Parts: sequence; C-alpha cells; structure tokens
Amino acid sequence: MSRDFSSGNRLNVGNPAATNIPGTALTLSTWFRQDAAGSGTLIGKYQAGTERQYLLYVTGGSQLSMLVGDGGPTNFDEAIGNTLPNQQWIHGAGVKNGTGSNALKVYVGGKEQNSVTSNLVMTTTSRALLFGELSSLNLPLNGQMAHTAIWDVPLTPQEIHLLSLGISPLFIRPNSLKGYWPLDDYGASGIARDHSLHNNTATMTGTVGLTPQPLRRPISEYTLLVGIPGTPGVNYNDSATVYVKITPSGFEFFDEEEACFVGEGEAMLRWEIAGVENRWQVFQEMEPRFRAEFGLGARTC
Amino acid sequence: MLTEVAQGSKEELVVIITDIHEVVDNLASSVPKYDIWDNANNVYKRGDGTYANAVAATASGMKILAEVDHNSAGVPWAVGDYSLFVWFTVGTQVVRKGPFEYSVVGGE
Repeated sequence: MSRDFSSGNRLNVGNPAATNIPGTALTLSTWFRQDAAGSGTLIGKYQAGTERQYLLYVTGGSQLSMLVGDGGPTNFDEAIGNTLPNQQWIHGAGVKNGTGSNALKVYVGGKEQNSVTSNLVMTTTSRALLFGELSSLNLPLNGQMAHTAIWDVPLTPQEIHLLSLGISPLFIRPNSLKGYWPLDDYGASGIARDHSLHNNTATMTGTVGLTPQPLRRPISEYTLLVGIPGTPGVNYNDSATVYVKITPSGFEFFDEEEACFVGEGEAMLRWEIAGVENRWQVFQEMEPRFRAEFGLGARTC
Repeated sequence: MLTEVAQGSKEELVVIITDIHEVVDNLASSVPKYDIWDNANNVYKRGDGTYANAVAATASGMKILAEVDHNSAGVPWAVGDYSLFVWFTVGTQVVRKGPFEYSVVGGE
C-alpha cells in the first residue's frame, strides 16, 4: 500500500520540533514511484526565495536530488543523481554529513549516485514539512510514495542499503528517527500516522488516496528475512538462511554459521535486540509439498 | 504402538499421500516404489536407498500400495522393527516419504 499524490494534493506534517532539524546531520529516505517522467517533491521543508532547509525531490530531468539550505531564502547545496525510470518503485535517500567535501550525498536503490561539497549549516525555519508538493501546486509529485522517514543523523551507506532492501526505518537508529510515515494507512480525513516515537501525524490537503500499487513489502518490525531456495510448487527445499541482528545503531548480519535449522520443515532464528539475545524463536515454518500417512492395506481388528 | 505385521506375512502396506497444493490427485502414473530398512541390523531388506533400485509398488489414487513379502527365499524375516519408505515422481520431483516404522511380530 502507498499514498497516491498528484498536483494540488499533498500531506502536511506541519513544523514540529522533531523534524525542524538544524545543524549538519540529516537523512531523508523514502520509497517512491512516478507515474511518468518529470519532477516531483518527495520530502520538502523548503521554499526557494523564502526558507530553504531540506528537500528530497525528483528534478525535471527525472533525477533524484538532495538539497540542504541554511534556512535563508537563497543559499543551498545540492547533490543530483542519475536519470530515474518511471512507473517503478525506487528507494531514494539523501544524507547530509557535516561540512566539506562529500558532505552531501544522494542514494538511489541503496547505492550512492553523487556526493558534493556542502558547507552550509541548516537552521530551523517556520516552514512546514510537506510530502508530495513543495507548496500548493508547486513541484507536485505525480505518483506514489511510502515508508518515508527522517533522521537527525547521517546514516551510513550500509544503513541506506538496508533501507533499500526493505528494512523498516524503525530498525535503523531508532533513537535518531525523527519521523516515519509508512503511508500505508488512510486515517480520518486522510491523515497519515507517524510511527516514530514523535507521533507527528501528517494531515491531508486535497486528495492523497490510498492505493494498492504494490510496493515490495518492507519488513515490518515483526518480520525478519528468511531466504528459501527453490521454486514454490516445483521443488521445495527444506533449508533457509537466517541473518539478522538488531542493535541500537541498526542491523548487523549474522554469520551464516550462526543460523540454526531444526528438523524438517522448520526454520528457526536466533536474534538480538539491544544486546539481549532471543533464541530459537520460530520465524517461519516450511513444509514439504507432500504429506504421508501410513497403515496396513488389510486392517485387522 | 507401531503397526504390526505377522511374521511370514506377504501383505500390502499403504501410504496415503496428500498434496498440499491439491494439484496431484492420482499417483497411478507416478512410478511408485518402496524400500525397507531393517532397524535392528541396519541393512536394507528391500532396495538400497536409491530410487533406481527400489522395488515397484502400485498406486490407486493417492494411495501407494507396497505389497511386501516378509520372507526372503522362503525364510520369514526376523521379528523386529522395520522402516518402510515409499517413492514416487511428480514432474522433476522424485519424492521419498518415510520412514514408516512397523513391527514384524511372532506368534504366541
């Protein structure tokens, strides 16, 4: 599920303290899908000529762009990626990490596409945080967006990669997660809930409907990955690969040797949260295609 | 309690197969076979654990019927526990099910 944006229609988080981020540490992340080539606002707390704080958007040339400003009307730094396809779900992210060379980066599909020098320091502004438009009818997104998140730290390339694999933002530096809107809901009057601790609900202007446009389902906070070799319905193989460790700073992968499998048809998992180990929690059960019962042909009583 | 077969019996053992996809509903053409493991002596009494050398069985619908002669060269098998395995093929799958343990029991 995702929310479907078009011209004149947007979500508005307002200007809560959590997302009014000053300084030089910021990460913006979202999944998006454009209906056609062209520009579109993804995450914007930004208005040229007024207040420029931060913006992740798609340019008229269909490139992902990450901008940060100093809060004033004029100055900004920008990292622009490569031309994107449309009608395809894409994970995009932008990271501001200090000042100097390579301090501003843009990522597409979990891979860095550009990094530029950025010496600007963000300041707080009175600008509202908007999804889908920069302001009314300004740089509208024609397409869908989901799993939009903001951190006040620069995530590492590895963490961006995990997000692009579908790891929930809730698993990535939760203490620094300043907002996470799955955009898979449609509350009263079209609100979209913030699943971070800050709970800054986005309100709807116009119509930003819920669409079943399929996004590869991100891993929720209750689901972990298991790889199952083989083609369902053709050759089930009773093996799996398990590999996730959750720490306060993000994910780590277990060594393959640490995965545990028990018996036919069961995959079990060892995992940790904040250093506390949870052992052998059933994750997903598998079973062979064919079951069998046994008995005698001619029964005697 | 294990299924019991009287010593010296030549009797049909039945394994009922279920396809959880509910696609396969007849194993008559699945080339069913079986083999039997002697639990006490750790040897195969029939077959050798490979599909190629397993013994032909028959199938009726989703039942695999293994007619097992519990005699070798006219000598009844020893009383004890044995394990039946059944084989069948579906497309590229060569499925082996088991072990289905049962006992050969002697007379009183």
